[in-house]
Amino acid sequence: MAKRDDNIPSTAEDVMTNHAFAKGLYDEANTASDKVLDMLTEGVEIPSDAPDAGNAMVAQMVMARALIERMRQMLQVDASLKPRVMPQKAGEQERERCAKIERCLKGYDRRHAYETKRNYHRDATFWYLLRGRCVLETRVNRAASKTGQLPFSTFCDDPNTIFPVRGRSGVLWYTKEYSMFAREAKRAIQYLKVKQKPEFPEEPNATVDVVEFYDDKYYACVFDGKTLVHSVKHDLGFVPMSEGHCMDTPLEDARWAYQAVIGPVVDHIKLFYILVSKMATGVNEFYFPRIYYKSISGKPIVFDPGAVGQLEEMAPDGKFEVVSPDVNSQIIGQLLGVIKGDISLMTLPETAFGAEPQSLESGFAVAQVLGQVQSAIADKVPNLARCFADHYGNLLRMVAQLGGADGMDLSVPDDLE
Amino acid sequence: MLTLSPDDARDHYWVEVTITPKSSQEDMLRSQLAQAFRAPGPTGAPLMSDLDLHENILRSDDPAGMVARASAQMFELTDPEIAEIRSLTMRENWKKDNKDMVREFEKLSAPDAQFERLRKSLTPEKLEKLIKVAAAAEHAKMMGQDPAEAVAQMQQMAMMQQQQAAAPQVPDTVLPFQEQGPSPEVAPTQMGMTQAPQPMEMTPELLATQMRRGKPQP
Repeated sequence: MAKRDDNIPSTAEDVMTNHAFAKGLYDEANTASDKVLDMLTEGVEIPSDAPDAGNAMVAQMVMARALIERMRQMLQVDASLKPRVMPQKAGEQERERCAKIERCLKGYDRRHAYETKRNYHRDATFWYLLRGRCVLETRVNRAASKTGQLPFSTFCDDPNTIFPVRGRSGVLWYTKEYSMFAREAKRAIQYLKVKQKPEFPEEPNATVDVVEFYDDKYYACVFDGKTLVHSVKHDLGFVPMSEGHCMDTPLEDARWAYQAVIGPVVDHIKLFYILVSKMATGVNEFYFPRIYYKSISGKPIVFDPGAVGQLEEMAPDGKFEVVSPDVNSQIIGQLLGVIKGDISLMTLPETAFGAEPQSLESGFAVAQVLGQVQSAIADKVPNLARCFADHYGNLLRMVAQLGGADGMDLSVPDDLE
Repeated sequence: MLTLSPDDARDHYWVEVTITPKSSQEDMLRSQLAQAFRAPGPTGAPLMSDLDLHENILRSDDPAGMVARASAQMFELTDPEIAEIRSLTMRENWKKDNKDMVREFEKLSAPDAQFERLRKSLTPEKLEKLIKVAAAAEHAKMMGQDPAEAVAQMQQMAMMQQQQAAAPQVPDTVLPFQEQGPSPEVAPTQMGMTQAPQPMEMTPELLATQMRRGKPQP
């Protein structure tokens, strides 16, 4: 077994062994959340009864994206997020100190968004709702500090690439895998004390696979699974990442410890669109009635209902027969209603989208449903807020430990309200 | 730029974050609740104070500030002195912002140069006389007379008054006899006497008052 916790990972193999272990904990969870992502990126195939080109068909699962977007809109993280630093003692001076730190945290977010052109709060909320988990990493960026940029960074990458290992007292360590362009990788290591020099591909746009290891004492980085590029004792005393679980449970298995907001209804949404697709097929088949005529020989010939406006030759003694089948669309409608009800139960009722509830007749009833919407949204807040708060805490620890050195000041634009 | 030093941040790692989701429907509900709680209760007092409404129902970011601003706005709108100050200030600001328009207005409403010279040469006494002449002319016009004639009479009277003023100020009795002056036999107390006072005209109201007193008089 590779060395952990009290010993620095001294080889690439150590890091990769740890990584394999951590990643293994999340296999099932990641598979489940990938299904959700597939729905958003139109990667799910809907069986079609009428695959012919030109016919009406349903290809985009709008509902999946709409549910996530609506929740993100209702959370209003950007507009309503407010950090508060807890005073350590009573008094006006302490209050002013805390107020200054709070202003600095807001300023950090402002400068971070300006420099990275990303809003990590917004990204984290998206991952939180889509993956059921968000991870914020706080890093020291010495290279940036030398060029006058923020010396501290916040990463909000896809949580399916980050694998924290939890013990009884919280996160013990974590690994992370990602790829970066060769030219970028070269730049990233130029300020590092490189342990083993990696072999970069000649093509600068080729990618390099990177695996990182972080615990409360050590950091290590492996390129292409075999070169230990960097390994250092950082001695921060804490694991510089914060994590938020959406729809959390106390279950230890990562598969059930958290879930995407539409995770429990992935199959429902898929079924919903399969039925809608069937309805679309019905429209194609029966919008124009099928017309038969019998030829002299008595053979029935069908007019193509899709070929609107095109004349077909027929025998002079042919006889027309219009076939009007009894389409059983009602049963599809009923099933759609049941499925939609289940989706609403686990996510958001249609009132959350501004639709007028058809089954509710009184203002009181509407108010009750609106209350449920608010509860569904409010329930997502505490873990997300805790994740942001922990991240701010980690940032402040880093400033206290590493700030003040050359180029390592946390100088931020202040809004003098 | 605001700089956070390591000393500022030290031991202050405990941060709480609040996120307050809101929806338009919820805002409406909160607003209705706030109105209901602010309405007078059975004792005449509202169920909640404005500050509590902002804190607990509307969940405002700055409850005290919002209450203070609302009060200030109400005061500004109702206080007459502030209204006057605001009106004056706004008027002056408007004039500053619209200098061209003000200049044009002054040009149009200013008297011509001749009148301006006349106005500057006027002493208060002359102005008083001018007003009197104008009033007499107006009076004559109202009475159907020729205003020019009335003005001429006024001027004549004024000349006479000037002459009288120039004459020595001694009683007529000590002056030598003059053809058109008062007779030396006239006692000084009789000089300037007019007709004896006439009995008061009896109006019906006066008559009724006197009858009530029991002293009817013709």
